[in-house]
Amino acid sequence: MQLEQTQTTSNETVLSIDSLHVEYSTPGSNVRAVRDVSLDVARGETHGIAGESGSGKSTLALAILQYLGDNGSITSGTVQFNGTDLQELSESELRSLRGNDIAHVAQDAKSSLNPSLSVGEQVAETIQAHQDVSRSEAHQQAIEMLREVDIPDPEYNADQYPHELSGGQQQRVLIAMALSCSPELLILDEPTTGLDVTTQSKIVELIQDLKDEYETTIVLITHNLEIIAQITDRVSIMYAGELMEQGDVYSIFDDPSNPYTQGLLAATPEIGSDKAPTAIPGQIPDLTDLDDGCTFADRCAFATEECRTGSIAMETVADDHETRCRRWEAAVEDPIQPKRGTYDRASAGGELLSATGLRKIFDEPSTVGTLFEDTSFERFFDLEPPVKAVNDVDITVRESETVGLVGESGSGKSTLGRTLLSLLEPTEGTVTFRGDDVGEFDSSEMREFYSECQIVFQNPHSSLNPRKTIGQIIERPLRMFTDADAEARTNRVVELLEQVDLGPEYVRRYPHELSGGEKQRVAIARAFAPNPSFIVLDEPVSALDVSVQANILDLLSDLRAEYGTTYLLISHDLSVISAICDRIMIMYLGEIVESGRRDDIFEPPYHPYTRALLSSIPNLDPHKESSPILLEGDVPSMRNTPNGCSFHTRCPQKIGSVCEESCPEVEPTGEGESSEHGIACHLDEDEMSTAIEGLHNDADG
Amino acid sequence: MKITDFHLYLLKRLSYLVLTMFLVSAIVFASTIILPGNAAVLILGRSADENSVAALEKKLGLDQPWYEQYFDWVGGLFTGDAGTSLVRQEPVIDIVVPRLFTSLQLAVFTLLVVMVIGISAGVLSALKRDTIVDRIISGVAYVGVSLPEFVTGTLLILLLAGPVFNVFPASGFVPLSEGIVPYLSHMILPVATLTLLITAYVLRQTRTEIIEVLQSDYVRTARLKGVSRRRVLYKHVLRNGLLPTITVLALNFGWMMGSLVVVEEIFAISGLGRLVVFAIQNRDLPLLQFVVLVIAGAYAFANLGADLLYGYLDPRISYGGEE
Amino acid sequence: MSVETESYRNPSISTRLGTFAREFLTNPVAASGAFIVLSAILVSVFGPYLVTDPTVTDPASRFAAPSFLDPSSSFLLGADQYGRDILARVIVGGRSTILLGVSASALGLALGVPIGLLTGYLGGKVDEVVMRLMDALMSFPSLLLGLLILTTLSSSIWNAILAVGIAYFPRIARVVRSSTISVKNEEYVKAAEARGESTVSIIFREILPNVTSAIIVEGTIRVGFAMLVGSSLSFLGLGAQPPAPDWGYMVAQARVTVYQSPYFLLWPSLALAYTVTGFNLLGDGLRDILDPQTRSD
Repeated sequence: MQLEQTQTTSNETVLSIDSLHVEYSTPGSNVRAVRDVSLDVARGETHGIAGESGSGKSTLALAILQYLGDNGSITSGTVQFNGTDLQELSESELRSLRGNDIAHVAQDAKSSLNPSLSVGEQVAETIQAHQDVSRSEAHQQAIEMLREVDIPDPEYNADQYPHELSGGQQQRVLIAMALSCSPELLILDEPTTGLDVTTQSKIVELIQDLKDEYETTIVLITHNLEIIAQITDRVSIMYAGELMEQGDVYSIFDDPSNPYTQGLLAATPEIGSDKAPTAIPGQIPDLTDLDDGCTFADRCAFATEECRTGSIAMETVADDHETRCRRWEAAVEDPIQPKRGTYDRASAGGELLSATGLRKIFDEPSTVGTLFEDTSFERFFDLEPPVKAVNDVDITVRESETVGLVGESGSGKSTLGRTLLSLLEPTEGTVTFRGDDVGEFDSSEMREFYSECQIVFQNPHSSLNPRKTIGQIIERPLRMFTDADAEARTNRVVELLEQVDLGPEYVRRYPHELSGGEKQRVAIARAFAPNPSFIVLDEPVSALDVSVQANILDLLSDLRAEYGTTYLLISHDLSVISAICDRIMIMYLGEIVESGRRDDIFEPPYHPYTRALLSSIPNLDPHKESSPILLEGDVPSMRNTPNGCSFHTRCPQKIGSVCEESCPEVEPTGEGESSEHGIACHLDEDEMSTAIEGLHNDADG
Repeated sequence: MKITDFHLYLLKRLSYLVLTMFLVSAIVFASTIILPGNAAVLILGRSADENSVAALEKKLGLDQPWYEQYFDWVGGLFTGDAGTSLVRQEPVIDIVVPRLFTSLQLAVFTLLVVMVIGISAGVLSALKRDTIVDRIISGVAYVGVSLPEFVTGTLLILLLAGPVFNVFPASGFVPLSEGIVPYLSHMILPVATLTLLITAYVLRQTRTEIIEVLQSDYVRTARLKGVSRRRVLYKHVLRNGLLPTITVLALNFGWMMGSLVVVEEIFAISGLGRLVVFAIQNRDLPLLQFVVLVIAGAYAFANLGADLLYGYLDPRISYGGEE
Repeated sequence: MSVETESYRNPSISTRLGTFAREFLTNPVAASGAFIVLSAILVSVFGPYLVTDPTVTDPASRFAAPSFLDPSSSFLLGADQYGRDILARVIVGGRSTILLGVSASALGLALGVPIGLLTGYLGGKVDEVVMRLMDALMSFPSLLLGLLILTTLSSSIWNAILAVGIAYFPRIARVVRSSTISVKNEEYVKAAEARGESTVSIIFREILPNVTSAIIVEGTIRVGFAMLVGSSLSFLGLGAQPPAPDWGYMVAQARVTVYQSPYFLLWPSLALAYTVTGFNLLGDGLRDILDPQTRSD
């Protein structure tokens, strides 16, 4: 379906926020979470609010609803809804407004639904709160709402509890709840965060459809600039509690007139471009202790002395386009551009690590000795089949190359990474390192293997022991794997810190004194300490903001160039993978469905799943509309993987019974010259190359 | 009948119960037989001569290997023979059962009072968090956990059954058949003593849990969709916040069975607790073993009940049964 | 650039202690708990040297037994039926009650912490078997288990410590185990496994430092509980033996004569409640300060 940004906007203003300030009081200090935010939203408009963590965007949403908890308050400014000042309303007036006139969809659907009420009842209680209907009428209406948001079999699912639904379905329930009283204004707070990209595109599609149907005005809050580009009419960019830039979506993306907006756009990776994501230096200021002048000045390439004095006002760039920058003309003159094509393809050497026929099955039933295990009864009665997390995978990693492993949640990609490093014992199959079977290693060879192969985890906040100093953390592998004496180790620690752009003063700091990005640098320094030849990077940037993410990717590229290290980069995000990988593997339900060089993956022929994944990534350019291939249903459980091709239950290009019965092998495509490109599919190459009827594919253009 | 997940869950829990009871019986047995201190010497006193010790050992079967003794004992339990009291010379079961009934009445009565007071004070405390009401409730709770039952019991007697206010009888237990007023008046002081001790735990658990739920995302969702305060409280806050209290109640039930030893002693109630003291003082091992087993068993059953109830009320623990 | 080579091997303990002390003193719960505990310990350690021997009876009243003396200048809190100074008895009784609480809690920690760490980290069958056994032990109310053990052994303060320590260690093991399990899933433990650290090294270097807070809190709160159970045992005539003036035993004695002299009942009860409240407050305060969950990252 066509995603059209129809300008149904009228001149009538639904929501009007005027120089709003919000503070949270914490012991000892006040967090000035929102400062001087003014924005108007016209009827029928979709207004995007973009910003990284700490930008105050979620606080702004709650301030609109006058819901700031015990320690938050609006210190000045007004919020008007259809001309009514919401701060003047009594508690009961607010109650009849919330959910009825203004509806809010919170981020994290799972925790936003009451775990002990059926989803139908939770939708119905909203209806009953605002409409004079009987219980059974409300229930009927709730079922209709669930049907509206495409919940399958709504009569049945209305009686289900939240934990029985998938993440995407939980999000749909929240949206149904919000729309059940046809509100004039719908506030969506990160509606797709935490969802897989194929699920995300379905939710975006749903929001578009419902907006047309209900003629709702939408405020969409997200960190995801691609989604903002695709579905909003007007955009507000927030940073550290302030509005940095505001205006029509096309002007914002075509002519970003604030250095922060320019930086954000340059940091966002894009598939199929030669753009190298470019980081914004520095980090967000402390909101309890703000200096005069521009909050972004410390990170800004255009900042001069004048930026550090007084308060910075919004300046008009053009009609419906304002920016909070004294130097915007300079910024427009010579905008921040992402680096282009700086990425050098490494020349891969010989085989470093490989696996054949690798399987990892959890909860393998055993006949004896499971009496004490909690799963023993399920085992005994065969109620819970084992989880096939990695299912017959062949993989080869060559020296000095970077292999990307992409898959959605539940694809088994992390398990594969850990099994390759012997952190998990393979159920079947062998892993060889430099030609030797890892399973046969004795303890000294194993030690050698551990020092050669390192891993960096996803969550920087949990990857460093909070009771150890940064120095101790980085020194530990040196102590284990090298003969260096204390002085040599200290020198090496300082050197490693320097290589990840951290000064020697970090040696004595504790992890809690570091930001997320800094912690991830320390984790990387620790991984590089024993001079490994191979590093598994397990979602190394997915917990980080986009401006920091680019920075870590840069760092990884630099270190690779210096040490010639081999990477296996595991990520759910194809854009991240495409930014630094030589070869890419696509994983679905424990199997590798497609693998090849970077360009092979982004160009036809495609595995139908790859095609869907690529099409699901929204375009950062609002002029180019995305047309995602919407996959049916959710990813099946790893306990009950489908027979035949594991993708056949959702495949838009399924041919017939062959897909259900036989499991396709990975076959090389082309005539030998591109033999590195393999696809596991029953389709022939033409079918995998040409556009699917009714859908077109623009991932490569 | 179709085997549902619930049946399996029940089967699993029951098998754990059997396992626990087996271990419990082994511990009881071990601590009275195998540990240092010969049982016959224990019974006769340290000054007894060797011949009478040997005679008693033979009578008690103590000359048998320990495992045979154990299996004799457990085997007996299965056939309803828990042995004969050395002092009273009657079957242990006949002594224990009526007293178990008395103690259970005390325990259940207390549990009901604790539920009402502990939960409501806990909820109130959480809703009025950091106000003077909350501080007073928390303060009283602190005193409650810090005073042992023998102090509160004695103080209550001093205050309400003695020279100050002579309102309630100071001791004894009267069955319900003697009339509701005497029954309740005898019950009030011991129940109050146990309640003072245990309420604080239920209260603090409830308060913590309710505060956590009040800060949850789903309560915010409920408020932001304009649902009435009352409904937010009952359907969202209490429904989720009170579930863990079930587990705490079961835990306290077991604990209370221990406190009964002291409370029954103070109020001269012939229940299981006093029987424990009697058996200890008179070195009546068969009696002691069985009473302790019964008390531990009561706790294990309370836990099972709580788990099943929790599972029934919390949809997240699903057995997938179709009712 | 120069870095003090040794400085990060021994993290600046003084600054960490400084932060801790500041937080401690500004936390009313912890500070008042510490005050109570300290005062109780000081009095019971040094007090006995300042008062008359509590086993000595007042010659003036020994022939008029049973005689209670109301508070006076020579007996600040009065004397019991044997003419013994109640103040002296309360002060000396504190020694055995606090000793029992602290030692039993220490014993519980000594048994429970290693079990909790090992079962929590290793998991699997070892964990299942050991935890089933702990469950079985926990089916006994602690007072009852204490009684059972004391019946088998002889009644003495040391056996009472042993009994209460054994009665509490399964609970401590459970608490340590659950903290261990949550730490075990942190990525820094996975990282240690990924570089091939030994189990011992992971438990001591990665896990133990991060469950210490939980252990300290649990150990402190257990002292209060152990004092309650210990004095209940004494109350029932097991545990500390007369003429040692244990608080529980004093209450048991006072109960008999409560109508003649309520003071005798009141003072040991108050002393017990005061000290137990102190340990409970201290434990709760420490939880607020040390618990990483309430700590900002």
